Amino acid sequence: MLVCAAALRLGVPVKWVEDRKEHLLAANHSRDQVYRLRAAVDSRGYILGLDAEFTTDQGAYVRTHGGTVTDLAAGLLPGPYVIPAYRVAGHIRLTNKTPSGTYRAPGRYESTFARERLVDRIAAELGLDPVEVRRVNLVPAEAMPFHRGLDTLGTHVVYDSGLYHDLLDRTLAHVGHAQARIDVAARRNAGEAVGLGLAFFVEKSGLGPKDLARIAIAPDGSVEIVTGVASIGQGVETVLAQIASETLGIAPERMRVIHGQTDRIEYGLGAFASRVTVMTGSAVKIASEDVLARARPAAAALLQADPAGLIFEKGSFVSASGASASLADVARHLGGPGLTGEGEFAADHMNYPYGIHVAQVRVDRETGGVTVERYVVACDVGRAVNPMLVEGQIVGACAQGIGGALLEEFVYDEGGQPLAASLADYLMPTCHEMPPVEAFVREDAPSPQNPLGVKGAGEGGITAVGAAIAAAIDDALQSPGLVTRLPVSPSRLHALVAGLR
Amino acid sequence: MKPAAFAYLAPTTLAEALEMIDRIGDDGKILAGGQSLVPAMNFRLARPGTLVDINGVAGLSGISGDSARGISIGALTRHAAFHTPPFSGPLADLLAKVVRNIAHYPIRQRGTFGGSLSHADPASEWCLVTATLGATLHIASLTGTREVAAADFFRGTFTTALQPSEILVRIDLPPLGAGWGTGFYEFSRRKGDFALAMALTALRIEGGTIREARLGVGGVADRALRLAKTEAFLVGQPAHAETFAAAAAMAQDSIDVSEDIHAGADYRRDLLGTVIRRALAEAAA
Repeated sequence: MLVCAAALRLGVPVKWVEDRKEHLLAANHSRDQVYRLRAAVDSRGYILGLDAEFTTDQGAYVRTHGGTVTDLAAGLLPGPYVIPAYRVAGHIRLTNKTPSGTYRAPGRYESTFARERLVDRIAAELGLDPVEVRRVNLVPAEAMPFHRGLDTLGTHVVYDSGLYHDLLDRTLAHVGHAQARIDVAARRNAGEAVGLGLAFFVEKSGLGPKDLARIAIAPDGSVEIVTGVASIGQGVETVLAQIASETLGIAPERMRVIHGQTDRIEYGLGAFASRVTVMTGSAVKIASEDVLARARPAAAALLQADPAGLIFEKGSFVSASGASASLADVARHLGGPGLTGEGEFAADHMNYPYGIHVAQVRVDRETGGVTVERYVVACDVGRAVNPMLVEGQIVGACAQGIGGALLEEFVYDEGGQPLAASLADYLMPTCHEMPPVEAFVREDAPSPQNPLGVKGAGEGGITAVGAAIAAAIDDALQSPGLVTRLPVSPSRLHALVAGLR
Repeated sequence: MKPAAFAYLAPTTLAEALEMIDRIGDDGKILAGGQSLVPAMNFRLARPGTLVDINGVAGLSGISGDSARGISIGALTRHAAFHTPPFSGPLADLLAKVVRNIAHYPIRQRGTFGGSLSHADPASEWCLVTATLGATLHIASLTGTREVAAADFFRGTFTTALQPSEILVRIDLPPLGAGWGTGFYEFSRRKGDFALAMALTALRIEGGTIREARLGVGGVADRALRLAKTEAFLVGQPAHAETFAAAAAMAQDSIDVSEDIHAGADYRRDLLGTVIRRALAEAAA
């Protein structure tokens, strides 16, 4: 905004130059929350009531995200569990640290860690299997759509669809969970500190209010898709071209997706909150249908046939006599602006992808080092437009989550001086720290809230990483409830292990 | 960011390089592999007025000798030359083990042995190697060449016995021949990060008894430390876990460990014991 304003004011090009240190010191921080959870449970571990209080360290002042992180944390803390009675108080505290904002799975990475730690604790105190305690608490499929009875980001929290129990069974089978438990137990008996952790999450995606898309078919059959979205390298162009291709019957290679150009379209919100495929994708789907609706009468005129009698297949309208007209033919016939369509998709409610993370870790008791040996992310995205891109999102998000679980931390001294102001001190995981991540992508519960049935896939890969790794470390050390804080740095874990002796 | 403006000189002979740095004095800096200097310049932590790039100076790189006779290392020899040393034996095994802990593969292609020593990072693996094995450093200036023992070379964090008019040209490592076993263990937050603690050792064991010992630690103080007292303790002891634990405890008591955001003093002191025990166990295995 300032760069644009300066350019307009001065009438010259203006460039923003920011180095890494400035960025790490001044750009939004996140994740700094502390939770205190109390649960009333029955003998099966079923949570009758959850009383939650948490604090968000907002830093020195409130930025453009306002209280979003706290709002989302409060709204989604109950996650996949029924929890008939829920009370929550989220406090926003201003401190002398760098202001905080949203960071992939804002409020969910943190609240999922807190809630899943609680469930593990409930299981440990009751002497129950933590997987079974989760099963007892999961919202059943027949309760969908599930009204949580509260709102977040100005919309009611209504889980649109989900087969939670089904995914749990499938994931346990996919992982070979029973055998994996036997294997780590055998290694523990041989002296190693290895363990398995499992955590469930519910994400939210497809934040409204609305998105717009326009499609134009040129006389040569090429397609231009104009959107109000922004590409951040996640494959927006590919996904939107695929969606249009499926309806229009034209190969994605012939499509050009326009994004990030405000002089081409009046509105659009951009790429965040796992919303692009849901919102812009649905708008493109609707625009594609609009193209066909407009093309049909023109094609009928061209073919001298009844519009209602035309069959559309493989990019062409075909009459009863077998004559056909492609969309390019129609565009040529129409002249002028050619063949166009427009689609707007509005959503009052978000939708709710969900999934399960399973981590296997090895702890070095002496150094406090943690090695992630295996990681599985199961995620139901409703419908995967492009499975490879979904997998890419999940693996990348998981890496980011492992960073948050084991490495990344904005350390301050007692006077509030930031000490992690370079990437030598703010440690992001590299390929050496990453296990192979297995993405178990499911399409069992399409969203009924959009024409594609899709849910966002941008954040599910990160949401439960902290929770799953914490559980795995507890298991490795056979110490339920040991890990209560992220990241689990070697020095912190070393102190925890020392406390066990 | 980008470095502050600097002048760049590229001598092709050692005499020319020495003349240049003698003339420039404090305002100059020698550019070898540049893997520490250039980032420091980019962060503006270093602002040399002139860089004297010695990469074009002939005769400053290469490894000669062998484990039994000891080796000579040209100061401009890249770290990567030790991935597969051009000689065999215990010394080669040790250096090949150590080199894989130095930063990352691309950095090892460019960074130099002599550059690491001259930079004198407290967590430098080569500083630990030279300090522990008792290397001799050959330092050239316009007035001739002098020899400095590693023990006298490292003065503290980023501080050495080098004068602005001098260039480290060669490093001699003493023999580590047949009968020696070596061990190295490093712990860092991520692969390639600076060590939170590391230990390097060489033991000559006969019939289960330690006859000779070298032991040093790095990343725990302002320089790599050779632990002479602990070495003396080890000699004559049986090569087993109890001895190693006692040696580790002795070292822990004798070092005032450094602190940073990744390791407070208590943690680092404990880690110091762990890396020493593991290095010793490896050398005895």
